[in-house]
Amino acid sequence: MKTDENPRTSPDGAPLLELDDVRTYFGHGSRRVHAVDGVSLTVGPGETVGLVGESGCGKTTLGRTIMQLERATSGRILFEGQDLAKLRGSRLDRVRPGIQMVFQDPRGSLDPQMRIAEIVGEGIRAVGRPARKARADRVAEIIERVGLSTEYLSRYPHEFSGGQLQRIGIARALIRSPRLVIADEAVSALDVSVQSQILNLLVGLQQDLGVSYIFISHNLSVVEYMSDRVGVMYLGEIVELGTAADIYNRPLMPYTQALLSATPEVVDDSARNDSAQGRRERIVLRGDVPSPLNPPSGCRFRTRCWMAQDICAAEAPELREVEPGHWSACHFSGQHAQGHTNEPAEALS
Amino acid sequence: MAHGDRKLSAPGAEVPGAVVGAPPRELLSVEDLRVHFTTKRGAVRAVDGISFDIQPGGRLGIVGESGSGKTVTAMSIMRLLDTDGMVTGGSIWFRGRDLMQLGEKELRAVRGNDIGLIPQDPMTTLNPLVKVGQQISEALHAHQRIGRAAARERVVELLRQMGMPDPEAQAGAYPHQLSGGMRQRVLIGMALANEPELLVLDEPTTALDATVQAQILSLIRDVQDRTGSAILLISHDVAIISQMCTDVVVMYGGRIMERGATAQIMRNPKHPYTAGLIGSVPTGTRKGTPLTAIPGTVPDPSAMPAGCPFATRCDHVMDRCATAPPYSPLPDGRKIACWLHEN
Repeated sequence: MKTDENPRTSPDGAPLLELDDVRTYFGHGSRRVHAVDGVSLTVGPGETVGLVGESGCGKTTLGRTIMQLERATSGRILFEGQDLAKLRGSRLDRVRPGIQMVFQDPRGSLDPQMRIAEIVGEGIRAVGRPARKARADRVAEIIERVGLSTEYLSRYPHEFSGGQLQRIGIARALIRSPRLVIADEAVSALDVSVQSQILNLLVGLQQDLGVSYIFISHNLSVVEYMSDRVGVMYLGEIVELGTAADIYNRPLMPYTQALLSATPEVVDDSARNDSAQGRRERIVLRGDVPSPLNPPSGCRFRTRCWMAQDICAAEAPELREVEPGHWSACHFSGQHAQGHTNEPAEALS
Repeated sequence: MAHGDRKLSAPGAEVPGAVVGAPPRELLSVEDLRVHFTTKRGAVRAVDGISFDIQPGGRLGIVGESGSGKTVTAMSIMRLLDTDGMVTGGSIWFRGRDLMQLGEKELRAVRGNDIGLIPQDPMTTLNPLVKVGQQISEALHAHQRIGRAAARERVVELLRQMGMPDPEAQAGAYPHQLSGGMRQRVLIGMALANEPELLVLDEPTTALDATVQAQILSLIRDVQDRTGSAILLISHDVAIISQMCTDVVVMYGGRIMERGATAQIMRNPKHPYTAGLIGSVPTGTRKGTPLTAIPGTVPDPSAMPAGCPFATRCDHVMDRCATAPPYSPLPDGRKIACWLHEN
């Protein structure tokens, strides 16, 4: 047996962020929602980890829990070695600037009564003239870095388009040089042509600054493009985790297969489909995602899974490393028709 | 190429690009449609002279970003524009009748009967105080002489065809008791209640999760195969259009930029806007390879540039673009509004 049950697959050295069995519950008793239910994950320096899943899967709550906008019910959230879940007050405030967030709706997340310079510079305290000058310089530098003109700094949010506002939101997130940025559906509200501008900007910033991203989205193709590794979430759990290539070319978990199959492609018979696994069969799942108030016993996906057996209702499958760096929470991962994935399954024992 | 307009939307064409002599009669034919909106900032040309048609049983998609005029086009066909919107020109022929000339009573006979609408948001379209079964039977009673028992049977049958589990019980549910996907099934059932010849779908899956979206798209395809209705599918998502439609109209700034067979346009877009739109979809692009981004943002509809609306964002912009390019056929059957392709 492996001694280390935590999927620690960050590319090199110490992880920047390490989640260990993190749970975030809301409510009490029978109305208790297990929004995040035992997530373990690492994010390495300069790495992008994507989180995909449908509404109610817990991806946003997980992001907010890491950001300390929600407090974890249990588990450890190690950021640069410090357990954020244990920190309070000023000690938490000292660590916090290292993690920043970019939100889905830039119009709703930026104060309409503040000028752009104030919005972007708000995170820097500046007392005295030299400090204010330094802050103004920093604001100007960062606003140009996100592709906007310094002329905009004296304007108000309503004067900008959605794409420009998202650039401002990114500038605001970057002003204190965070090591980790959590982007929660950061491009979902934008028109497609603007969305790609923002994705290009985020990739460019990462190359320059070495910042890590947790990139949360329901949009699979955007997550594939952005991510080094991807975690697929379902009803509060990570059900599959691996490199973007693993997840998109050789999905192990039936839910991941269904999710990928559900995503229409622009040119349906592209070379990508031919090379991956032959043409993917289109899988159409029955039913909706069950309520997180009352998740199914055992494997939470079993009520919609075409491969479900008795064991799936009886026993919750562990997230286990089926091939190096590729984790799946399915009783049958590594056994069934995934072709050439035999030897890693042996390496496990 | 005088018959260039007819090349669109051949039903069931095996090779969509290779359609030659199209059937003589269109189900729906939109000619030079113009819709203006009065806003605080002046008149906005939301739709600025567009023409397209759909054959019986055809599958046409309209793709565009916000402000392109795609939803306004759909609502004009249904004659359901908001009061501040006005059709200022053009005609909408449906089976030989100009919908623009019909009175309210005649329109009601067309809406929901000959043309069914499936709106974007299943949350707000259903009446929250009325059981869904009753809402569907209202649609039946509006257009058919049908007894209550027969209507009830038909409602259950429709819900069953929509893939709703336990349709007898679901007919007695209120909208809030159903999930988003189930509500959308109810709306599709309602739109199909009177077996319309044309289904107008305005972003039918935008509010839904990916796996539910796949269910609904598959249901729409089944329904279309079974009933032979034509569909007009409006979406911001080129991939959905690509999967669902044989033909596509690409709109921007209230005008048609390019239109033709979907397979042809997705593989080989000719208009710089279409190329940018397809290139913006990151599917299959490796990280580190910059995406084809269209610079700038969609111009404010009240400040649309004169001439080609895409000129302010186009890499190929020339002096000529200050005048609107004609909407001309290409040898391969598509039509395009771009000076690059004018000799």
